[in-house]
Amino acid sequence: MASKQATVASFVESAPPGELSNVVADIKALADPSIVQSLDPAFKKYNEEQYTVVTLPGGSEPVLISEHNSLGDGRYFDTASQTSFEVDHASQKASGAQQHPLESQHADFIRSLQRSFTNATAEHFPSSTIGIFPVQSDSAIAILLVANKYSPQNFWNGRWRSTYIVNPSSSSASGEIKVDVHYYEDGNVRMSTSKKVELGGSNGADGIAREIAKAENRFQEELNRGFTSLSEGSFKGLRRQLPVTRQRVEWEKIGGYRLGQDNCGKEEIFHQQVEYLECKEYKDVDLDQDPFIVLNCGHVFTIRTLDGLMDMAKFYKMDENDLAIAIQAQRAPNLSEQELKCCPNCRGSLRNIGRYGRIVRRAQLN
Amino acid sequence: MADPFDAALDLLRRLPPSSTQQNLTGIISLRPELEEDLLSSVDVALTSARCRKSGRDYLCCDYNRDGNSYRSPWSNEFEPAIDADDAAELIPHGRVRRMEESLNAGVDVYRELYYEGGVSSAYLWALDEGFAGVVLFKKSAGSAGSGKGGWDSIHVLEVGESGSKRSAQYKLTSTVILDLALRSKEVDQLELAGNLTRQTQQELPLSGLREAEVEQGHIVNIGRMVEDMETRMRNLLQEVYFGKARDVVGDLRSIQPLSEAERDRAAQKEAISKMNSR
Repeated sequence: MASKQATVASFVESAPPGELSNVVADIKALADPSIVQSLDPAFKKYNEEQYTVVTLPGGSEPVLISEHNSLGDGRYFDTASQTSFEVDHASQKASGAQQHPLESQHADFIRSLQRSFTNATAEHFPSSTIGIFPVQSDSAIAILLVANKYSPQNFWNGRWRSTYIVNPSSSSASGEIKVDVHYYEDGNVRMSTSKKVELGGSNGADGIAREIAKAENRFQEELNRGFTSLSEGSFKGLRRQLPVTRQRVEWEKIGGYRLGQDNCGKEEIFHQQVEYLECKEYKDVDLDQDPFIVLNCGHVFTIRTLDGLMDMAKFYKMDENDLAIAIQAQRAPNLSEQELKCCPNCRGSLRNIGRYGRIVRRAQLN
Repeated sequence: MADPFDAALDLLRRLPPSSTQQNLTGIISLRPELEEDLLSSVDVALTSARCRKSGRDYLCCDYNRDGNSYRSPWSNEFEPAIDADDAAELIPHGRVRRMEESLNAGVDVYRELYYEGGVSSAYLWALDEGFAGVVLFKKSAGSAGSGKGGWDSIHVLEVGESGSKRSAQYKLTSTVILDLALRSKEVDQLELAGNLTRQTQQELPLSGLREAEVEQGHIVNIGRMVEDMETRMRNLLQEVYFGKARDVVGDLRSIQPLSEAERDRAAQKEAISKMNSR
């Protein structure tokens, strides 16, 4: 069992974007004042991990704080304004600003990265704060970005964080992108995602900024695809929108229902593949939108599938609803017996299907 | 200072929903006196147990619990068995148990039709004027492929019966806990976890004069309300989990360069003003 201290610290560290003050207010209502007093390490950890943005005293430029620009003893530095400052972690306020000249063998490179990355991020982030700092005893450069968007009146908040460590000699970089979204209108929904990225050597500060923008675009596109695949995959597999029968449950007759396949057909028919264009099974096709044809061999296909198979459009002029409205005598191709189409499942004959009579007979005549 | 119970609920609404169980335990360790109220008002993912008598699975929640024992809706017995006097008091009988049995049978058909698997359970208990109950569903989607998911729905209902038995007042509070996760090469990890709660209240008619018809009428009304609510919530979940999350990420960062988007907007504006001036 975790100590009360550790429990409360874990609440602080897992606070959603933009909601730390709400979480702290709740903690104050629940925990002893002595526990609340001792939360400073948790606030520090939260602020450094979440790239909390503070405003320098007397300045208007926002500055982010992280382990990468920490000087120890609660002080941090900013390379753009060449200032160091003290942060009160509980209130997220900066004070005690002092001159802090940038001393690094890569000072010029850091300044050009600052310029290039500022321009590049402005193209994709409506609002963000960046920080570029010499790290690892001045052997590497950290590029950090945080973008927050809070909309508590609409019950959602979001945060995007990017971290890249650049090797100045090869201009290659490795990093991680993290995104958190919280939605809490009559509920609590949290999206969190992360992706590690490797960027190959690129040409100067501009090149690195370009590579980062490209990698982030790629990630965001993949994330959007991830939403679709969860929505179409796992989510669909949990609860159907309507039963297979496409009818709501008739609760009056619930005693008369029999479970599962006895409902309106045999299981094997449900799973028969009837739609080759989208590989759908019988149970997933809407009869009203996609009518079926039952072949002599007993296999069932949607008209759409069979029309495609028979090349209907080559023989008939079709309207937008795939109804044949005229014969295309001129363009009809010459079919030989070999090309005589058949059931895709068992190669059974299509001869007796009125819809394809003309095509089948023509092939036989040829 | 805020009321500790409200503060606890607010905190649980903010902290990661994937750790609700753990955070609930944490809050109870800070404020043991809130335990009972919190356990009955905070929904956590359901667990299932196998009924020793029927061999069928049933779902466990605070409403069929006594100490460490849970009552199976199939056998109507607590497992492990509890003190006989307590059992006599807690085990429903007569009309309430008859309705509980038909509701379980109905919900079972509903579950097969909508969930094609999973576990369902319904529990009822008598109130002074009417009765109350809970309808539960749990379904997990396999980890084959790159995604996995879990759905738990918890429908708590309160039925107020009027003297005439021509209609009844139904109050439904539904929570769906939906956890989805995806791991792939392109996105190292994507987690969408959470819960939404909605309430509804309806006065619905009961037809028939015989007691059996009235009981059947309640099952039909409850079943239909649960079905409506779940269908509505499924749409809402789809919107919030996939639409909203995606929009917020889009608000944070735009794939299309903002200067390009600005030019597009300006061009569109110009085209519209030209059309209007024509």
